Amino acid sequence: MSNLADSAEAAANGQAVILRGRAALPPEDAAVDDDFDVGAVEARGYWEGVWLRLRRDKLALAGGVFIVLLFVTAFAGAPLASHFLGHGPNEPFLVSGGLDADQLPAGPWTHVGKLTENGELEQQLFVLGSDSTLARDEFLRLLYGAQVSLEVGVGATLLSLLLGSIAGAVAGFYRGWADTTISRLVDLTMAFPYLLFVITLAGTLGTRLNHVTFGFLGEGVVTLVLVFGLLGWFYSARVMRSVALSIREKEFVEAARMVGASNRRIIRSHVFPHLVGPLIVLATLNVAAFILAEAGLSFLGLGIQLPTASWGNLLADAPQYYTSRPLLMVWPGVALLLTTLAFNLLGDGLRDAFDPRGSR
Amino acid sequence: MKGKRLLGIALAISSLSLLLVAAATAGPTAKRGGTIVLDMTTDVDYIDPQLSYYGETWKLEATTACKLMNWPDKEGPAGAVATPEVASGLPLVSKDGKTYTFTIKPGFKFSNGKAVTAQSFVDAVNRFANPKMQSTGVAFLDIIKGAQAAVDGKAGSVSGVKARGNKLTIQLTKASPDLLARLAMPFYQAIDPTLARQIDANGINQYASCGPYYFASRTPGRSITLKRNPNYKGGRTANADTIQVNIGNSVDVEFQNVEKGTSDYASGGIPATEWKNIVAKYGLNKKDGRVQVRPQLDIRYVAMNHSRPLFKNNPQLAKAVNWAVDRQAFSAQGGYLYGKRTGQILPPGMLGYKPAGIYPLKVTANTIKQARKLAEGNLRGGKAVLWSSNAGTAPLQAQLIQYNLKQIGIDAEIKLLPRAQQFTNAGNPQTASFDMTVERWGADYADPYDFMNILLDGKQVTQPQHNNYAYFNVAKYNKEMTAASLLQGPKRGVAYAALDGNMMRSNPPWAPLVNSNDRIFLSSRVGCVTINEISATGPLLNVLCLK
Repeated sequence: MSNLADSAEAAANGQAVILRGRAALPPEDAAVDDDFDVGAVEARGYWEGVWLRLRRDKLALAGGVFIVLLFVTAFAGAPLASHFLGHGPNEPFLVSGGLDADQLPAGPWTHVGKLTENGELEQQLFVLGSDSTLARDEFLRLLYGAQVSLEVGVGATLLSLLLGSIAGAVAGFYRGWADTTISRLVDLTMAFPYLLFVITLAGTLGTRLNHVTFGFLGEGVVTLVLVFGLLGWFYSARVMRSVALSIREKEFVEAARMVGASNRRIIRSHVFPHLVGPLIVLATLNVAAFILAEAGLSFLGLGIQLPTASWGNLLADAPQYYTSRPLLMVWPGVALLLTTLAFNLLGDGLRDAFDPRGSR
Repeated sequence: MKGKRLLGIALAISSLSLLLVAAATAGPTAKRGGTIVLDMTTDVDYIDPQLSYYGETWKLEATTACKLMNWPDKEGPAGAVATPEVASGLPLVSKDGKTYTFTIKPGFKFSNGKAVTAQSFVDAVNRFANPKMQSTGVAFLDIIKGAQAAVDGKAGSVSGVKARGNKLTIQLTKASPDLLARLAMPFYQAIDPTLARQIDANGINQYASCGPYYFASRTPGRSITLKRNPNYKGGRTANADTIQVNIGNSVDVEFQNVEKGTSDYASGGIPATEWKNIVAKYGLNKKDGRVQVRPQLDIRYVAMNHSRPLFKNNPQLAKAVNWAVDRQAFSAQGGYLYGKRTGQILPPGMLGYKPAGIYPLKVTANTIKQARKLAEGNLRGGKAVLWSSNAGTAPLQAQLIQYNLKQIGIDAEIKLLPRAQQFTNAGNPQTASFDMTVERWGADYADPYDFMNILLDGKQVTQPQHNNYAYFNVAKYNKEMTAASLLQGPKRGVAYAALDGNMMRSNPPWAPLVNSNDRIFLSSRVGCVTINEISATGPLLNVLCLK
């Protein structure tokens, strides 16, 4: 009985219905032409199908590759670059070379002097020049800024999706008072003036949480992750609720219920696996949105704590030099643009890939 | 007869020619009327005369207030002498120097039509001293008899200030050489009876005033409008009909607005990097020119909070900070003609200023070594909260200080605040949760009392609002400051110079950084530029005119 139930569920899930070559052909058809060899027709699993569809989407793949490279560059490349260049992202180079003759930030590919303990000047390279009149290395700050952006983007996404998917699954699966309560809570959260609320929270809660770094995060990252996560879960909750509502009526769920599976087991084993696709799509889109939100808050001076670099505070400093050093706006601007574009392209590609009925 | 006629014709022609020549060679004449527009980056603290203590507000109050004594609307030495305004002349002073009697000049009226009387000044002092007002400036009342009792809530009014008819008598607790200069501060301006009754620590945003202008409206955080006082007959210039202040634009926007002529004065400054360009483009300090730079009696400094564990009885660390701060780099953040580096309390030009050369004005490997040596063993955990303004170059300057502190082992957390909030909270013992704050002080009047006693006398630190942001309270220095304030002439200068040197050498309350210049950028629409740094920073707004 339990084998039957499992195979029924599995079939409906599209996970384990594997037909192999001739064994799949009806016996009478096989008898018609013994010489006709249809070859090995292998039905594809769900994830294999997703991957095949995604592989056809070159833009999405390019986005994915960019994201992987970005992670590698931010988390491995930044410390390596700092090591080889011989200085950190927060170190001002005001003694020699960090500012030009007009006291403006040095331009790209400038050699600057670092004052050593012996009072000598050691030549070091600023690849993208100085970040401001504080004469810090723009290139390193951009790399370390990527770390912060990704930490905030990924952290806030994980938290919001965790909260959203649990709330959405519970609301959609149980319906009734649970659905009503969670749905109204979602409505309430959506009705809040999001940005103002985030600014208020960042300005109050932030002062207490900015020091929490767990030894590896930037100062202020935890605050932003909590603020974005706690206020950004509603969208994923809505999506998950609608998916859960449709899944709870499926035959395999009925079959599972028929064989005595508990609600918890049904949610864990049958509902959640179906949420993975939409969750991944939402995640990619949310990461991009949270990275932009971080930049926005840091631009307003409420995000990442100074002197930690983030793309937002690099952008915030840049307008002071927009006539004399316009490239200072370009670097973090392009980094933000490419990153959000990459995440969005990947998200779009994944959405299509997870939809077997999609045209592509 | 014919000869006389010819002579008349010749005279008429020559007179006409002279008139034409004069008209042709005259510069653009002041145009009365129109609206002068100012941009400010952040809002003022208050516009209430007994509460406002922000340079930007005083800039406006220089046009709205009428005072017993005032600074003439003139440049240079002529503008630096406190001169009777509503007082009909200099006061009669008693032999012991403790009683001043002023006679009030008739004719001054508030914008609501009421006359300015001797009582208007009594009301101002009483409102100023009222503890419910919580004014930051009450330290300036210390010499007036009965003021402290009123400030402490022990008396309903200040017993030493009395009006009888058109006579105003001010009794002092001690002979004070700087009383007349103090009376030129906006705190002491005449107030009308309605305002006298309005006691509100949050300040009043609309009131009648007796200067050439009055505050017609204020929308906090957005705008302030000044209109010409229709009843003003005091003789000061009032060129524009309206002075409109727009608040909240960034320095970049202010710069663009003034360049385009949609605003006339970037009161909040312009991007630091633009000063060099505009000096090259428009020239410097030309008559009625667009770019004006003046030295001012001012100081930018890091106040070290001596009431908190990090700096309490820790002079070695305070000295280390003075050795560590990069004054040159701090100044560089402000851009071209920002100011002059300093390591002492009194600014050049102030009585008592004597170059002491105690701390380095340029960082070298040796200065950092010296700073580390002084800090060693005195870090007390090495954590600090550093307050700074969030406007203009202040965040960059704060990050620089943060980096300098890190070099001696202090891990400073920066907290950026709107400027008015920064100094208001810093001056309130209940809200002063900082270890260091990057501050700026501009002289209220040209006397060392205004720097030493006002900023560092420990008697202040228990007041609900004060300016001793270092919470510096050393009995020896308190006594010496009081003694110096009673001296006159060169002795006064010598005493204050000694105080400056001794304090900075043995127990520095601050890390002084720069004596900054007043850099002014004006639109092409305006002329009649008169600057009196003693009266207010920037051009005198009542004199400024549209071309």
